[in-house]
Amino acid sequence: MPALTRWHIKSAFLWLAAAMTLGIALALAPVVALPGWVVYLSPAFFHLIMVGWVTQMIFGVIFWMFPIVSRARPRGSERLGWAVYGLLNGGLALRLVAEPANSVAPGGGWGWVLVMSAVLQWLAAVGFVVNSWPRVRERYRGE
Amino acid sequence: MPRLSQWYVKLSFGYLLAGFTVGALLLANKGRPIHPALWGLLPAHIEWLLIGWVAQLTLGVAFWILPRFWKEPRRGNTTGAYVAIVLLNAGIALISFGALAGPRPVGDSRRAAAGSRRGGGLCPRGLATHRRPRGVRVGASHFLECDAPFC
Repeated sequence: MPALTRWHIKSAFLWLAAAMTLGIALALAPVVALPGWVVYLSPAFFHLIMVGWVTQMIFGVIFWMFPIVSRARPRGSERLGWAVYGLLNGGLALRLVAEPANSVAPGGGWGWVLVMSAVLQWLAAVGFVVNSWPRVRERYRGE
Repeated sequence: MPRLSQWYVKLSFGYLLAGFTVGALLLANKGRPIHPALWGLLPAHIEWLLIGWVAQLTLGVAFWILPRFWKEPRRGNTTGAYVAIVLLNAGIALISFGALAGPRPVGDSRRAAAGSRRGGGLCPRGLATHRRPRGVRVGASHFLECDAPFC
């Protein structure tokens, strides 16, 4: 298993654990006195699961398992793969912080952090598709 | 990878791009309000990513990688898989059409815009604005006001 895939999968495990912890906090919020900003993490909870866990796991496994492009360049661009990893996780982490902060104190700089988070995650998706598209093909036969 | 799986996977990549594009617009709209009508794209965002991306990719990879029979036809009767890709994508297209061309939220756009400036926004399903804490327990009231927990 390539190093990038290991990083993707281990990060996916961490996001899953974070999401489950956050799920407990959100379930407790109506009955236990928690900081007010906790309830604003509800969208982040869904996205930690769908982006941090599911999508990231898929990205990692596709980088590992899909047919190779050529012997010389089996998995496309490794550099782009690492950029996708950084953009996806950086964007998601920014969202986790900026979304409740922006809800508690709207109109400040946190709004721009949310915009940056959106751009980073979008770039991650584009980079992933660019890198993976040539690998959606028949098995490599050495030609 | 068989040709049918390639179709499934390439379509799923298309929905990944479309879903992330709309998601990025929605998230940016939360940070710096662009237009309240963007929230009308939320059902399409969810459909494209849950069904178009994750479910479709799963079907395509399963067709490719699950164990095959020893004798031809190695993948058994594949008619169902061909029918499935058409039905799945026709269904997604119908949902998308409903989301994009269907009835828009009927809330007062000025109120929705004001809600966006407050850091909330028009909730597409509950048609309620997220409210900031006003000295009451936020948790319960927040969820009661909005029946779509992901908005």
